Amino acid sequence: MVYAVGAGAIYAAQFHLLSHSIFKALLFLGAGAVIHSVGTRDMRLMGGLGKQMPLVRTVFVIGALALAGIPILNGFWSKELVLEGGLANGPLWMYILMVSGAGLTAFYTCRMVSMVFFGEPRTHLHGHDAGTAMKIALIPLAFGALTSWLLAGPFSHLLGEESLPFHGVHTLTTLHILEEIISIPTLIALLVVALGLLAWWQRGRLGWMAKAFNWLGWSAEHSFGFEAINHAIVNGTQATGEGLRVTQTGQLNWNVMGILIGLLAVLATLIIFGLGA
Amino acid sequence: MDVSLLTSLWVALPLLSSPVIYLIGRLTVRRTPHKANPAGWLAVAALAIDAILLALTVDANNKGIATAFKFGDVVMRADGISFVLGGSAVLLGLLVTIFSLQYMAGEEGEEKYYALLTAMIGTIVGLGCTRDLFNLWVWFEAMAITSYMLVAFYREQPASLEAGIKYLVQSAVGSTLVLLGIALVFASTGSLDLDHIMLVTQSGSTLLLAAGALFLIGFGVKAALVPMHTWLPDAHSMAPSGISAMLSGVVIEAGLVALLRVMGAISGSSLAWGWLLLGFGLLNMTLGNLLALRQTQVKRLLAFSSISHVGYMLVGLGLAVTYGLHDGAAGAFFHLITHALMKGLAFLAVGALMYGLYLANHKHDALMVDDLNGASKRYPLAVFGLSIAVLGLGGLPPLAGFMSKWQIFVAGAEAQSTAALVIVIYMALNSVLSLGYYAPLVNRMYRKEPSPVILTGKRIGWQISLPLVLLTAAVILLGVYPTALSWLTDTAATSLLALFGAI
Repeated sequence: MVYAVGAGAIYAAQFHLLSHSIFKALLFLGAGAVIHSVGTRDMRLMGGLGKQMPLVRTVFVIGALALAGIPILNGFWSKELVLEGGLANGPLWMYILMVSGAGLTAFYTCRMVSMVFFGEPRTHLHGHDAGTAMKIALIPLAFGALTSWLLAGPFSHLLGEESLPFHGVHTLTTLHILEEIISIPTLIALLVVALGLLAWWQRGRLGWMAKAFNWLGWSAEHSFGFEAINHAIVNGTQATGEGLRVTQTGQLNWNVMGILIGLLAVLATLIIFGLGA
Repeated sequence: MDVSLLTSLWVALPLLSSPVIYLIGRLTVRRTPHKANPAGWLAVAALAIDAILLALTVDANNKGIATAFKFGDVVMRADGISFVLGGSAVLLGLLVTIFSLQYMAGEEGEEKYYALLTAMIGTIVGLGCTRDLFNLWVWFEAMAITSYMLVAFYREQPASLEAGIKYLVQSAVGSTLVLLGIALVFASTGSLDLDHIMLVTQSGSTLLLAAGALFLIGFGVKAALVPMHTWLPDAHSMAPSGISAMLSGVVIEAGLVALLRVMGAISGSSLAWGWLLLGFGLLNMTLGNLLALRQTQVKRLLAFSSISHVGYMLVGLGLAVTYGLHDGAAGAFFHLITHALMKGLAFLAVGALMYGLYLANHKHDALMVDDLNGASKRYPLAVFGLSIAVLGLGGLPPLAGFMSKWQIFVAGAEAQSTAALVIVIYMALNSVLSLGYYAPLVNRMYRKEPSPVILTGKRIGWQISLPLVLLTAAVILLGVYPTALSWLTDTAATSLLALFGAI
C-alpha cells in the first residue's frame, strides 16, 4: 500500500487496503479460532487440523489464497493493481523487489496452511470446529474475500468524487478496471506467485537454500538482538541506581563536602566559560 | 479595599496568627489537659481566611502588574512569581492543616506544630514578595528555622533528630554562602535593592560572578540541587507526612524562587547563568530518578523523585533564561504548581496509609514499598489518590503532570537549537525512567494480595480524606483543563523575564 502511494497510485493503494482489511481480518479471526480450539500459538505443534475443523479450514484457505494473490480472489485484483501502478511510475528494481515479495508471500502462506490444516498431526492436540458466534464472523468475511473486487467501480466513484477530488482518482466501471488489470505484467506476477507455490511443493529439493538461510532463523529466534539490548539497558540502569547508593552516605561530613564540591565546580565553570561573555 | 493593603494583610496574617495559635493552644492544654487541642482548628481558620485574602488580592491585581506594599520602611512587591509561590504555600498549607487535624491529634506539642506550620507558610509568602537582598535573607532564614523544628518534630525518634541535624547543618552552610554572596554584591554595587543592582551590574564583573556562584550553591542547598541535595531524603522521609508534603511541595521551590530573584539582579554579569541552571537540571533529573529506582521506603522514594522534579523546573527556567523563552518560564511555574499538588497529594496519601497502619497503633515505623501490597482492598481512597499522584508525577496524560512537562518540552522545541532539543529529549527519557518506579507502586497496591499489616490497619477519618479528595480532583482537572491556570503562570513568566532583564 505504501509502495503504491509512493508511486502515485492512490486508487490502487486504497483498493488494496479494502481487500486487505477483509482477508486479513478473516485470517486473524481464523487463526484465533484455531488457537482457541487447540490452546497454543505454535504452528510446529499443529498439523492435520483440517479434518477436525473443516469450516475453519475452508474459510482460512480462502483468506490465504487472497493473501497469496491467487485469481479471482480480492487480493489478486488489488495486488495486481498495486504492482502495475508501481511498474508504471516507479523504478524497475523496486518493481522486481515487490514482485519477488509477492512470490515469497505465496510461499509462506502455503507453508502456513499446510502446516496447520494438512499433513499428519504432529502432537496429540485436539481441535473442534468454530462455534456459532465465530461462524457468524468468519463466513461473511470469506464471502467478502471472494467477492469484494466486484465493487472496484463503485469504490473508485466513492474515492474519487466524494473523498479525494484532487488526487487524480478516475471514476471507472468495474469492468473497465478489471480489463486494465489483466495485462502482460499480470502474467509475470502470476508466474512469480506460481514459482513461490512450486518452491513450497518441491521444498525437499531446496534443502541447500534453507540451510543458507539458517542464520536468519537464528537471529529471529533471538529477536534480532532487541531482547539483548532491552536487557542491557534495564540491567545497566538498575546497576547504576544501585551503584549510586554510595553517594548517599548519610554522613554529614560528606554531605557538606558535596556542597563545597558543588561550589568549586560552579566557580570552575564560570572561570572557564563565564568570563568571556 | 486598597490593593496594597489587601496584599499586606495576605502576607501578614499567617505570621500574626502563629503566636496566637501557640498561646491559645498551650493555655488550653495546661488548663484542661484531656480536652482536644484547639490549635489545629485555629490554624485552619487562619489559613482559610488567608486563602480568601489571597483570592481577593489576586482579583484586585488581575492586570498582573506588580503591587508594592510597605511594612514600616520595608518595601515589598507582589508579582506573578509571588502569587505562584505564596498561593501554592497557602492552599497546600490549608489542606495540610486539615489533614493534620487527625494525623497529629494527641501528639505532644501539637500547638507548636500548628504555630510553626502557619509561621512557615507566612515566611514563604513573604519570601516570594521581597525586592531587596537583606529582606530576602531574613525571610529565607525565618523559613529555614521554622522548617528545622518541623522536620525534627518527633523529638523522641533518633532518626527524626538525625535528619533535623543534617538539615540544620547543611542549610546553615548554605546560608553562610548566601550571606557571603550578599556581602560581595554589596561591596561591588553598594546597594541591596535588587532593581538597583540590576541597573548597575556590568558584564564580566568578577566579584558578581563569585557572588552568583555563592548564591547558586547557597540557595541550591535549600532547593536540593545535586550535589547539595543529600539532606533532602532524610528530612523529607522523617518529618511528619504533612510537613513532608510542604517541604517537597513548596519549601524547596521557595529556595528556587529566592535563587531566581537574586540571580535575576546579577544576570547581566555573565551569559553562563542559564546554562548553569540547565546543567543542574540535567544532574538533578538523572540522579533523582536513578536513586529513586531502587528505593524500598515509600517516603524516601518520593523524596528522591522531588529531586528529579526540581530538575524539570530547572530545565524550564534554564530555557527561559538562556533563550528568553516565555513558555519555558510559564512551564516551569506551571510545573511548580502541579508538582506541589501532585507531591502534596502523594505525601498526604502515604501519610494516610502510615496513619492507618502505624501511627494509629502508636508505631513510628517507616512505610516500606512492600507494605503497600493490596492496600486498595482496605484504603481505596488513599490508594486512588496515591496512584493519581504518582502517575501524574510520571507524566501520564491526561493528568496535570503531563501538561506542565509538555509545556517545558514545547519551550525546548521553540528554542530552535540542537542543544535544547537534546535536553528536552533527555528529559522525556527521564520521565519514562521515572515510570519505572512509579508504575510498580500502582501495580502493587491494586493487584497484589494484601499484606497482614494492611488487614489490621485502622480506619482513616474525614479530616484525612477531604484533602486527598480535593487534591486528586485538582490533579485530574488541571490535566484536562490546563489553561485554567495559564493566567497565573503567564504572569509569573513575564515577571521572571522582567527579573532577568529580558523584557
